[in-house]
Amino acid sequence: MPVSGVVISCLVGCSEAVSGRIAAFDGVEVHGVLPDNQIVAVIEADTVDAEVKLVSQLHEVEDVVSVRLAYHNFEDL
Amino acid sequence: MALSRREFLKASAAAVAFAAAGASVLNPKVSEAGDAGIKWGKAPCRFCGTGCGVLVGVKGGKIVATKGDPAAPVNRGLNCIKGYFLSKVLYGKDRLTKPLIRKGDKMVEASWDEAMTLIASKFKESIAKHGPDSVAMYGSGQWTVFEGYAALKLFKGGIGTNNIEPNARLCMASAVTGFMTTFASDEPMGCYDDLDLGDTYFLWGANMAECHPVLFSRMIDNRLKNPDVRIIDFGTRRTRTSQMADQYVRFNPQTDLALLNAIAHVIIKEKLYDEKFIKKHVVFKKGKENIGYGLEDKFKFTDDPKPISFDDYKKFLEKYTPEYASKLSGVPAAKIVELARLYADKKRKVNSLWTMGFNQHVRGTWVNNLVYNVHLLTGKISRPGENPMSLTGQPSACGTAREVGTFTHRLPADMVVTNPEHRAKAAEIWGIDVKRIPDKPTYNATEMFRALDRGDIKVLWSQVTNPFQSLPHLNRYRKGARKGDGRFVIVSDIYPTKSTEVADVILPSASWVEKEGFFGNAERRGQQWFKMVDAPGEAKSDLWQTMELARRLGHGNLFPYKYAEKEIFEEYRKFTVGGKDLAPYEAYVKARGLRWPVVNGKETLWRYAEGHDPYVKAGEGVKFYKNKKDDGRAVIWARPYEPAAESPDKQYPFWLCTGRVLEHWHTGTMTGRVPEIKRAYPAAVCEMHPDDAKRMGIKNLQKVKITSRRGTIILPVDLNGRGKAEKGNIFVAFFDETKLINELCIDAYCPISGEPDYKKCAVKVEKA
Amino acid sequence: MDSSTKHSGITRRRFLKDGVLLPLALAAAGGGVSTLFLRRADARGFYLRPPGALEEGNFLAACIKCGKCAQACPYNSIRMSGAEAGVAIGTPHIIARETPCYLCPDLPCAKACPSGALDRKLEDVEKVRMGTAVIVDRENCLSLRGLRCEVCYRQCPLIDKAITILPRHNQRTGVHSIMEPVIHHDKCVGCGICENACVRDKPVIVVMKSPPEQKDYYEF
Ligand code: SF4
Ligand code: SF4
Ligand code: SF4
Repeated sequence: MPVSGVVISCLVGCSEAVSGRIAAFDGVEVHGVLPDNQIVAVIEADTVDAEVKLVSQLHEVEDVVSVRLAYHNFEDL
Repeated sequence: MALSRREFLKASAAAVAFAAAGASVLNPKVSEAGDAGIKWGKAPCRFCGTGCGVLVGVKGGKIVATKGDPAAPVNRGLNCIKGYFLSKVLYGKDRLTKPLIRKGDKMVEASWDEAMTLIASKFKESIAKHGPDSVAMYGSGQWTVFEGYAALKLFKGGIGTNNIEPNARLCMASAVTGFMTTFASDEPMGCYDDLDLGDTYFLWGANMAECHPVLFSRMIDNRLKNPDVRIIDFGTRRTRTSQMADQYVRFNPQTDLALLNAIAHVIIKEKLYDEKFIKKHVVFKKGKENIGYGLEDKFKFTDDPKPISFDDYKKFLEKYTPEYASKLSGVPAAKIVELARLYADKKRKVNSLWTMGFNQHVRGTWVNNLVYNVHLLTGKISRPGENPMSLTGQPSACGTAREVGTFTHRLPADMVVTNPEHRAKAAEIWGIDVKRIPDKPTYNATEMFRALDRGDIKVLWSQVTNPFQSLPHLNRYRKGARKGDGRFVIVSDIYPTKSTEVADVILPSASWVEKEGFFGNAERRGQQWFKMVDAPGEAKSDLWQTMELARRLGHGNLFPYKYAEKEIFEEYRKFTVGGKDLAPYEAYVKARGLRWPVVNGKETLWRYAEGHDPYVKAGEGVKFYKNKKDDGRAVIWARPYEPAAESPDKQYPFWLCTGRVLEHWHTGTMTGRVPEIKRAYPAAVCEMHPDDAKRMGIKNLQKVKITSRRGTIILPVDLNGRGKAEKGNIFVAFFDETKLINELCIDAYCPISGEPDYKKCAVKVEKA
Repeated sequence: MDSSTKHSGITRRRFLKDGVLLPLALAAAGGGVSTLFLRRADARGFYLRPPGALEEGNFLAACIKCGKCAQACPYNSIRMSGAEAGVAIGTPHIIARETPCYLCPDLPCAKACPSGALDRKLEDVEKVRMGTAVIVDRENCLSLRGLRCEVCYRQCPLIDKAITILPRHNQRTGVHSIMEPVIHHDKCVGCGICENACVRDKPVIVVMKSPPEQKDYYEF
């Protein structure tokens, strides 16, 4: 099951709102909202495909500028 | 709490993402768990003259972390690898925690009272029997300002001897005499901003890439932003600096004197000089020639400056044609002409930077003078982005040794003991009879240890330095210290060193943030810090140690302080008013350092420059106002080329040069105790040119025996290391206490500055 | 720890333990299995062999496990592997973090090899190919964060060839440059001196068998 750490950049001043929006997704945990319009989140999914889908969905969320993958682990747990 | 594997993965995923977002410290989870309760305080780095600001994290009475201070203008949060490991340098396993007194071959633990009673009795006995000039203090450019000031006051104003010297004599003294003879005021006109603002950088005998790491990355960044930036590295060894420079100009050791005169020759011949600037701001002088090398004990030299005219100076330079300099230096004549034109190019902002290649030089003062000549001829001085800049080695060589003036001939703030007015001013501030301050300088550092060897000095106290590893011609001075016959050596340090080995009493010191402190870096920036942790065991600050001796010698009245650090600073500040102008102590508590002169709360970036230096009047443009003798002008000196004290010959065919590496600080007593640094660079090697090695059948990593007239050492050769020796040269770093390369060095020094030449002596190399 | 982790941990250890008993069986089972086995024994999936070693399969076939190379190494860099190595039991290897290969100019280890598992004719140390260094953890490399470290670069015996420094602007400070160590896989001999020297607790530059796979032909 893949676990990933991602950094999400948002439009200026929107990080709080975005963090609420993305926290609503299944498998997304918001770990921190940084002062410079970035959000750190951890993503879990059942398969790599599902994970990729989830990340693409995050891209589509309103006011999200980019989603960067910082950490990725895949192992059978 | 045991985390499940998945929790653990999630935590790491988050941590990495935080790091990637550039916010590891902001990670709320981490700070709740691991970082909770860390208190951060500011301090300058303990190591080099760059003077990076760091934040020190303290928890449970221990330094648990350090990080570059993002608010510090010098480094903006960065450090080199030494600074990175600051949190570990004080916590080596063998930290000294108790005073130790020699009993035969053993060092035996003692109480402070026993140790100080013994020390005071030795001082008293020696002074009574042999006079005050039989006791001495050898200090450091790593002393805090307070420590240096207290030692100076005790020795010059209390005991009544000028027997006080800092190790800065071994590293910055030629820069000092260079500044004093040319501008009559010590320390640079420029500042680090010149690294961002200039476009042409001439490096002379400076391996900035390793020895001023953070400054080097600043200069390189300037070039990244501006492709017109040129970095020219003049050197006798191909270093990491040469590797990144635009040009590396190799010259034969000692011939920098001829090269700089040839550059001036071309500038004059091609009329590239700034006539107006010269008329307004410059006088010409000539001093003695064939001035000797300080090789014999009690060597004395006094220069005899004579004014000359511009035409005389031109005549003096006639001999230094590019062809002549080329023959001496090995630099092609056309290259000399090209670089002289670059120096004089009106469209370029030219800086010269130098360190030990110039200063540790038997003609160190001269070569400092000569580089100023070029800047004065072209008027490229005291302008933003355009300055000659002497880079300092130690964190407070400027702040303590040079500004406080802990040299035998000096008093605080550029004053000297030979000047009756200066003595009077010191006596007034100290509240003592002026007759108590002796008017004759005694020994420079080398002579001080010669005097100990001869027995003229009986009691010598060394603080915050390691002379018995760092002096040249080390064998003589190590033996001298243990000759007995009333000699008594006290060493204050934080670890056992090569110097504590020869000590009669070892005192455990507090270091860095274990005490309140103040350092001054190479750009005149004074930086203050508070005590943040207790020193281990019974270790005490050198300031306390000095004042305790004062009390026991009956000079306690010189130190009537309640809050010693602050009161000392404010007292010392009186010396600086109207010249070096330090700000009130409180200002430094708040600031990330301030560059003097600080007048009306404003620091000075460029000295002698209108609009920047408060002492330059409107309309003056540039004014070298400190040189009152010459009517506010700087001096261009006619200084000839003269050979080194010892040059290679048939028997000893190689030049030996010594120096530092990025990883280690000086004699490695602190950095050598950081396991990571020790692993990264464990032991000294001998850099050699592959052709020389081939000729002698020496393969890489093979052991060689290096011998000078003074000593022998065995080291593995490195034919392809970070530094590449030129043909006929070898290089060895001096940090390794198991390989005392300084035993081979010659104790010849610049007669004017008294600074020894660690860069040039003759050795032979054989297969071991 | 939750039960699933425990389970997997035990399995892994059991697998290793069983492996000790089974080297012959595994050898019989052929190369595929043994490579898999090696990967289990060493996280990086390969052993750093002494200079001049044949390709791993041939090396294992040729090496007679005499230990002559280890005896010849003046730095004691070469160790003979124990049972944990499975089929590779008794073969020479180097643990760079403890003692790397210092690249003796005459390669005494290779000269000492009687079996041809190490290439005796190898003369030029720059032609050695034990593996290649890779920065595996860019976040933790101090130089990549703008600090002046570059210890790996300055200690590399092929300085300016196998590793070079690529300065780039540090946007955070605005006035400093980041001195990035760049490894050139065509020059790196895989001696592991950089891995040994790296100042981080866990070395962020390590020697691997080959650079991480790329799915294209852009070589930078
Ligand atoms: S040693 Fe010098 S360059 Fe390195 S962190 Fe300290 S002050 Fe900065
Ligand atoms: S393994 Fe590291 S030290 Fe050795 S050649 Fe390669 S980059 Fe250089
Ligand atoms: S030694 Fe390690 S931390 Fe330093 S530059 Fe090399 S890889 Fe980075």
